[in-house]
Amino acid sequence: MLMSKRVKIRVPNRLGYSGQSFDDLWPTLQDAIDHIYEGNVEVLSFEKLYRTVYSIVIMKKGRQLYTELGSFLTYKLQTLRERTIKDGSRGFELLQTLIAIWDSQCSIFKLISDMMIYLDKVYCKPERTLEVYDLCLSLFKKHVIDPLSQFVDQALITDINGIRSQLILNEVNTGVCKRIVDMMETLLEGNDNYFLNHFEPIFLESTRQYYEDLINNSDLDPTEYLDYMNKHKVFEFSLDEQFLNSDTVSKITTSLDKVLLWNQKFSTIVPILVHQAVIENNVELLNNICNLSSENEYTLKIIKCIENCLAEDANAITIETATKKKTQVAIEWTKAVFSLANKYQKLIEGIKWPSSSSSADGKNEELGTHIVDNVLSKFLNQNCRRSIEYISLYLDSCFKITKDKDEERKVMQNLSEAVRLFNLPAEKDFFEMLYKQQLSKRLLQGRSMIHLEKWMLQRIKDEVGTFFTSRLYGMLKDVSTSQEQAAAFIDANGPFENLETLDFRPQILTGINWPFKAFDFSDSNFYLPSKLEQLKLDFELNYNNQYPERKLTWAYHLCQLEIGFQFENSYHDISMSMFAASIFLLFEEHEELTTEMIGILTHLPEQELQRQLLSLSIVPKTKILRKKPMSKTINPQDKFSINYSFSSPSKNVKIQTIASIKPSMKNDATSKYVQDTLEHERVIEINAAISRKMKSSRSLTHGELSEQITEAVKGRFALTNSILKKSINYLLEKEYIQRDPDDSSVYHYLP
Amino acid sequence: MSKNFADLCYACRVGDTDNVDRLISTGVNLNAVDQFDNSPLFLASLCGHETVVKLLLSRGAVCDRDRYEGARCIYGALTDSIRDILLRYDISKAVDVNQPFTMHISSLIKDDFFLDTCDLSWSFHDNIRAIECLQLHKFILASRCAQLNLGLMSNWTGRHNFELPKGCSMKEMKILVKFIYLLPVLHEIDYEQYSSLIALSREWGMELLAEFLNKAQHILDPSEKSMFMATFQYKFMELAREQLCTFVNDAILKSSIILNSHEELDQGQNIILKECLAFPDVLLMVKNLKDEQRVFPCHLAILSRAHYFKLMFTLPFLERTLYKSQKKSKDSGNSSPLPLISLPSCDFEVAVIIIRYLYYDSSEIPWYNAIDVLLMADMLMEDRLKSMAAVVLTQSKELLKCCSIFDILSVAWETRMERLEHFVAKVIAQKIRKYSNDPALKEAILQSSKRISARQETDTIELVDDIRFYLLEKYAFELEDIEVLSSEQDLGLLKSSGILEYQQDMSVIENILDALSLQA
Repeated sequence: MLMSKRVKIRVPNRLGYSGQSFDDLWPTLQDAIDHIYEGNVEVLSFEKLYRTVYSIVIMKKGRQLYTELGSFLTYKLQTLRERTIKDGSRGFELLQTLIAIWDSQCSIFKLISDMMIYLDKVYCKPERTLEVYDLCLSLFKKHVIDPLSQFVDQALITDINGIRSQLILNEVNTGVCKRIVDMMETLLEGNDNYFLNHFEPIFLESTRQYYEDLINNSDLDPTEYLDYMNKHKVFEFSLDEQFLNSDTVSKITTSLDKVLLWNQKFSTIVPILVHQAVIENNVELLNNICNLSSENEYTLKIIKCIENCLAEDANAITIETATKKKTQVAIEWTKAVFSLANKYQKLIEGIKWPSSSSSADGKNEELGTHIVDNVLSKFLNQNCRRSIEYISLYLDSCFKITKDKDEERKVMQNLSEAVRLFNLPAEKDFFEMLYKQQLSKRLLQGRSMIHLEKWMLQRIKDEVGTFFTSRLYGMLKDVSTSQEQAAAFIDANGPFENLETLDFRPQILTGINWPFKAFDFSDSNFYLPSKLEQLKLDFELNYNNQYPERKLTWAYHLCQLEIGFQFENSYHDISMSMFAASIFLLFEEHEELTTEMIGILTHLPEQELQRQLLSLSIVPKTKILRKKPMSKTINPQDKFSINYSFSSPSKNVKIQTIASIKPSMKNDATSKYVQDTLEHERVIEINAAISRKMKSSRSLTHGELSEQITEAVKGRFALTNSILKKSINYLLEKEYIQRDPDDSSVYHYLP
Repeated sequence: MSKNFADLCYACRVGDTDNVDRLISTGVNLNAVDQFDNSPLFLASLCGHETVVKLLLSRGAVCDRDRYEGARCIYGALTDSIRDILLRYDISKAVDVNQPFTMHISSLIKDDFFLDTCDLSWSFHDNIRAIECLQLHKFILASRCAQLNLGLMSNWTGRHNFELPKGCSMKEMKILVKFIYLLPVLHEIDYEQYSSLIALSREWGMELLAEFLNKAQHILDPSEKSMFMATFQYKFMELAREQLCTFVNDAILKSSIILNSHEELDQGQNIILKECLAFPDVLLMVKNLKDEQRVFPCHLAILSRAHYFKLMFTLPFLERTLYKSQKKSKDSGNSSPLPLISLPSCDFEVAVIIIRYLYYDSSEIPWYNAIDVLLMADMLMEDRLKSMAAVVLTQSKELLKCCSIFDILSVAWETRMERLEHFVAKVIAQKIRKYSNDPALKEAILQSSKRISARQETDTIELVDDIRFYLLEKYAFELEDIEVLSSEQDLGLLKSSGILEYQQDMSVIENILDALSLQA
């Protein structure tokens, strides 16, 4: 019983100062705060103050305490401001005073908040109000900083601008600025801090203004301007780092870029500078320009400038068609393009981009290639066919010059350079055609080295793809198998009767690989000279035995014959076409023949006969037949005989078959032929592409189809509307596809 | 088996972390087993109480997976995350038992620069000059080591700086000092140090350490050694607890002075206290309800465990100023009075409980002091002690005979102890009909509704919610059961299920809410 008596529960509120009201207790705290402000802390008993706060909170007067504390501190801070900061106080002096106040207030706030810790714990946290220390800071902001904010901003900006104008870092000043900025970052405003909310926008604006004025008041030439800008940018960066956080520094850098790089003045200067750098081949200058900013947009701008320079230079390449031969012009033109490409490639590879920009190190090579390819492909496509023609002519000439090893290396180098241009023009199929024709000529006339051709084809294949080169490879293969065939044939038949002196080189060409018109093979009426007729029959027999399923057709117009003949003064090996040779060989048995008779004896068509006779008797350097009467045209009654007085400086003489009787007409025919074949092939390709697309998609609108087909044939040529229509019409007619009965712009696939 | 250990096993099963913490601090052996061979760690692991498992491990429960008990804990773990915690625990590394009071004492020798509570320095010399100086606390040496205590009381009285004679084995002495300060040093002992350490610990009267060293030097297997250390760590810690307890009893409590009401502590009494057996540096005064005053000789080193005292002596207020001037005068040989601080008025027993708690984690709080301790702990901002006091309140059977449940509720609110609020709600729910006529219940519900500032009509009232929850528990219902049963017609089933009783209880609450025109 004794026990239960002593535990009579006497709840609660015995630990505080009982019997005292808030009004009794508050003066103690007020007095303590006064002491703290006077720096007289050591006379205050923590125990007493803590217990006072505790008592107030326990009697549920936390809210009242909090409010009273707020208003008392407000009073304290207001008097403090009025006492310490005189109305006239401005500029750097103001900043220094402010820092001193801030330091002292922070430690005072800390003491007050420690004293009030029970209030924080029991009132502020559950009520979700600012804790005492943060309350102090917010009051400080409200009653000290806010009334002064205009002057503080002004003072800071003036101070910073002062440092900027001297271009010398001043540690005393930046130190104070840093302290002020730190203070602003500590003070909260809304969800952010005061610096971010209030000062940063002002400062960014003032910085922009400062540099804008600086730029507008300067009058410098482009190079000086560049140096000037670089200097200021570097300085501003090092200045900012002294007193701002890295976020703000980067914001300033961005805004500075905007002011310095994207103003009217610099926009005009950049192209000038880039142009200058390109002309002087001055990588250093180019680097300086690039290093101004790591912004992507800026980098793109510079690249654009370089591209413009390249395009200008490319367009400036002259073509002197008037005075020189076509081949000559082509070579000069192509070489000029190459050297341009190389120059820019090297220049761009030399650029050191700022590390953070999108075109970082190591990708320069790609970037260079990309830019050069881009611009050149545009340039080449301006006159696509001509570009292609020139390039292939250049290639052709390269192949033809090579005879000895030394030159070979050089040629290989030239060819390598040329390879990069393959991909650029749009009409690759045209290029393929030209290359094929030239290749066939080179191969049949044995005017280039096979291994070089093979090497080149491999390069083309790597660059453009197998599709492009499969037929070309076929041609090379034909040539090499032909050699084997010939060897085998000679081995099998032994030396030819009566023809010991004959060296026979048959070339068996697969029809589809070679660029010859079908009708070329139809002049089978032609009478082969009897000696050769036997050989032909032997070979045919032999070949048909070996490959009974193959059809062998003779292409006389591609044949070359080399005949040794002793003229009056000299002996010459004369090489000429088969038709010319058959005419020449007639004179083994006849002294003199008329045109008519030659026609009967050879069965050559009229036009061909005239061409050959002209080549043999009119062309000045190869006049091995004598014509009576001497006129520039061939008449049926004209008489021909061997011109024994023929002579030539070299032993080997080549008789060129003249192109045509009427040269202009012939040219037209060729280009028309090229055009036709090209179009024909394109239609076939488009047909195939459409069929594939339609098969997988079932139905498509015209727009979709056109888009997809353009994409599909992009690698070969640029799709035109007319040719697409042609192809579609063909397919409609053949009932591969059909139009939708309701909507004529929709096609359906017919399985 | 002691009652405390049985309680600990129960608390581990139900996952009452606060109570486990409290019971461990009574000095129970964590690695003991109950009559079914269950260890507390196994029970906590089996029942899936992750925080309890963590607490047990950090306080020295052993889980050695190479032994039966450890493997059992791991295989019995209810959740993967508990299993992972146990697996991560490595016996060979985890022998350093960390009771809160030992950690605090260890910290005194490592980082005491700011408060500067040392009152003894030992300096070691080579031939020419001091090479190392240990800053120590007399009261720790006195409490932990009998031989040193004798020295301090007799021939070393009044001295603060000692130059130890040359040739003194500095390394070994440092190890012993670290041991005295409860730092984990047992792993640091080199083989060749054993014999000199044994000799020295015998000389200083530390028999248990000598026994340990004697046995440990012959154990080579690392796992066996760890196990052995774990056992002794427990013994060492309990010895330390015992020694500090003895110190509090014999030195502090016996030396304390009782003053009559309105009597001030005079200069002479201050000096007497200053030179008492406890070697104090701070005096703690308490006034009880009869206006008697009692002054305890204490140590800032220990009091600073409480955040309140730490703040008091780190901030540049009067207390710090006095303490520093006292220290200075001591160093210069003058005798100036010790600083006197006071606790709010309370029974002396409450002050003693606080002192015991701060010195050696004592969690023995008689139920009749628990409310006072709770309030005092709240003022001192000691949350751990608050939890312990709350646990005592909720476990006490006698409490409700002498005080109203609503008083407990107001204490709970004042000290923000959720555990107590739940306890109150549970008690009310159990005897709802008894309380239904008590106007205090009405008042309490009204109070509870006002605790949410700017309450909306539809906001819940915490107390009502809690009572409803415990009503469900009382009849072992789930919320779904109520729905099912409310559409049930069979009277017999309704009766046997207890739903009718439940509904009657609920109606008490509804009636009160109606009377108060509250909605919740």
